[in-house]
Amino acid sequence: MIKNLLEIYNLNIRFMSDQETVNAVRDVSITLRSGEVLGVVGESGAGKSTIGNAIVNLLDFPGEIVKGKVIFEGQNLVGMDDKTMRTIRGKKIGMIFQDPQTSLNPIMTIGNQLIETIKFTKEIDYVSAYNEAIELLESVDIDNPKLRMKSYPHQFSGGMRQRVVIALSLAGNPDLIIADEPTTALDVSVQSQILELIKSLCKKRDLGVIIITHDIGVIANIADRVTVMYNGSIVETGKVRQVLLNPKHDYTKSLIAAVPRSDIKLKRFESIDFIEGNTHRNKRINLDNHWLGEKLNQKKSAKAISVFELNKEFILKKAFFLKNRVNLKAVNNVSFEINKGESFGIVGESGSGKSTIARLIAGLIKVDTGSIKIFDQEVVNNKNKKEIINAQRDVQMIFQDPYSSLNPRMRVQDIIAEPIKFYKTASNYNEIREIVSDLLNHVGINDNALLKYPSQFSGGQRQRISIARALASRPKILICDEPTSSLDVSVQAHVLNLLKDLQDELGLTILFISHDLPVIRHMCDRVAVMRKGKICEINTTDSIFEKPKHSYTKELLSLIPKIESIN
Amino acid sequence: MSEIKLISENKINIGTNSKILLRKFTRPSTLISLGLLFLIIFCALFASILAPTNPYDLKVVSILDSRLSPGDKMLNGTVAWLGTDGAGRDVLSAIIFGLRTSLVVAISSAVIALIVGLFVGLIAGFYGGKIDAFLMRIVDIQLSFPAILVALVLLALLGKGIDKVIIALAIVQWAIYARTVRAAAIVERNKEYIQAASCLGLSNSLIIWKHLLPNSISPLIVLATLQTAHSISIEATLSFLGVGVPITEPSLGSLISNGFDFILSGAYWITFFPGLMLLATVAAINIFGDQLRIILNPRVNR
Repeated sequence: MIKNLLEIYNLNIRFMSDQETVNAVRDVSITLRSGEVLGVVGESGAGKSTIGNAIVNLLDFPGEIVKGKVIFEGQNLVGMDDKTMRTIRGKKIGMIFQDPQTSLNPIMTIGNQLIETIKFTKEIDYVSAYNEAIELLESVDIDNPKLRMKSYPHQFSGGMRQRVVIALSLAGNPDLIIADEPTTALDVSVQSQILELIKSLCKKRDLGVIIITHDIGVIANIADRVTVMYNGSIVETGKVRQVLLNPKHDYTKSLIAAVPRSDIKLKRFESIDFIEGNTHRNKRINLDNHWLGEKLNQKKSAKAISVFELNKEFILKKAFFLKNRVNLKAVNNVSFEINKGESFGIVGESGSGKSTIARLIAGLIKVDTGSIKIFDQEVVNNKNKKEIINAQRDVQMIFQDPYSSLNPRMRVQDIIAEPIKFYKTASNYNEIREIVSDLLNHVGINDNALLKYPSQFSGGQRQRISIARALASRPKILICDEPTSSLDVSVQAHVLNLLKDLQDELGLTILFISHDLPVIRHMCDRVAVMRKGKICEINTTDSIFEKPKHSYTKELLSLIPKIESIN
Repeated sequence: MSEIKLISENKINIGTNSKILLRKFTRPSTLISLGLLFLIIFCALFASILAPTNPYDLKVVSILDSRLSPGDKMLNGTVAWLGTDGAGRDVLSAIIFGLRTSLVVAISSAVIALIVGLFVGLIAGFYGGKIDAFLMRIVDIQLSFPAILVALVLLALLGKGIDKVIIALAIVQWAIYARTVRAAAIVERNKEYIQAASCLGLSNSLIIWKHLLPNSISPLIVLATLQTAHSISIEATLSFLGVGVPITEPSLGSLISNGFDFILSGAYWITFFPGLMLLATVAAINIFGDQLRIILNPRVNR
């Protein structure tokens, strides 16, 4: 029998403060062998990062290990003094963190950072450390490592930086690597390369790897075994294939059901009740006689939005002389049309200009050239301000970050009442109250919320509140700019279900912007694929996913981490 | 396995928050500075009741009482605990009345400067671009001159009087507020709730008033306390130089300058006690402002 590299027995960690005691990790036992990749998956607050930090004794202040053992190569790491720990951390155990921006020193060259680490961990002289650094950079597939040794972190892209971080973690020839959300800050195309690299290094050097992530797709791609955590406890452990294809625990089942799939289009996410069970929509409203149903389908036009040859440039570098200025064409000659009642998706990587289009249509930034028509009403080349304001009232936006999209100093009832008061759609105070409460119920939040402040809600609930606020001005078009990318998968599933229900009931037209292809497939009827400010391909969702024509679309599709891909 | 309970989503408890706030408030340095501050404000408010004599009532003031040392009895029988000045006025009473003038000048100039600075800062932060650049260059010019120099020039132009001093002090200080508000406003302006508001079609002035203002004002609370202390000392300096408040309504500064002629002849108390009071006032406000900064900072939780 092969000896285990790492064994964790009944680990209990609590965070104690004056106000409350949080048991962040409860009775967790994990084993890991050399050459094996263990995925730890769970949603925010599940305690997965805490375990990673506890292994190397890097718990944040009020946290302490109450009970349990961490046996690494026969040594118990719990209660070990700092000096001995330092000989293990960095040398025997390497760490990879989420954000490559902050885990490298910005004022040191890559070479010096590597050499310094190697000199410390291996206690060798400069020249051999230099040679070793170059070898390391080669092993993480960085081209031209000799030249790159002189570069600073900011001269590297996000993916390259993460490679350097991996090289740093390998500097002491460790036996175990703990990677905490190593690809969360990266684009899909870069993510798959990094995962490939970690996997190959693991096999080549016979390393034990613990990957901590919220993304089941990542687990499916890279891990041999997976541990599912929920609320501080392990709910299920096993081979990836067995856990993902045949989950035993209810939580694992809901978690997997909540992941949008890229292979088939589902109407709704089913059986995700285990999570956030208390935020179900509790009251259905009869739209025929309710104010939300009024004036819904009055506009005759079949086109909700028509965009023609839209252009927008941003100034990257200001200068007095024209030739020194640097501009970025964020949106380059983009034209498309969205039919009434349709869900239209725009997908692309970060910096492709998809959010800029959303802001242009919503009138938040000015158009350089081109035309935008909302229900046949021109809003760009129009001198009549009143017409523009009336047209733009039909368009409301839901933003990416639910933590900054609600005014932290206003009560929920005032946030939602604001558009009602502004457009004077209600005649008196009681009517406003009634509408606000109906709206909140409609998005699945009960009346207790009225007097609370946004900070008292979770991300998913806040996103529901933003949706209610957007609905309060009775829009006909909703622009959703990455509405779920900062939410956990289960919460995402609930919010996406809500958006679909609202669309069915209110006949809304939705412009859905996301970098996440499976989410787009789930939500949209037609999709535009964007790259560097240009649209590569527009087609129905099914043809984009089944028969992509443009080479970039094909590339994007091949990179999605999938649960279905395990074989 | 189903014993795992759903986590309640609402983790933030208001009760614990107010407990932390209470604990921060009851620290000794906060309590002492706050107590001193209340005492000073109380004295200034009820000067006419608290002061043993009215130093400006010419029927009571007698030249025969001049330069009595602390603890001596005056002609009318009251004890001058802090002595009397060259004109025979009770120094303790003069300090209590002077405190009132000093505080009125400092607080009203701070309020005017805050309102002007808030307005300019919000406009600059919200609109950005050329408007921002223009307003901030004015602020730069204003801040590049020493406050005392600007105030001296202004008072030379405006003439004497409490109102003139208040105007001069407000002009000297608004730029600091404007700069601070602008920084806060820029951070808030780029948050999505501002964009959501403009998506709703709200006018710019409504967005500034309802959304931007309440969220950018908190750094000003601390700044305003510290600036108030600063303007008390500027006013004292101006009065000491003889361009501040008129001689009929002396502030702490003019009291200090009043006794300056006698300091070498041994009558130290005419200058010393108003100076001590000035020190105590400025220190109390400064310490309180500093404590306020800690109290309002959510990151410092112990």
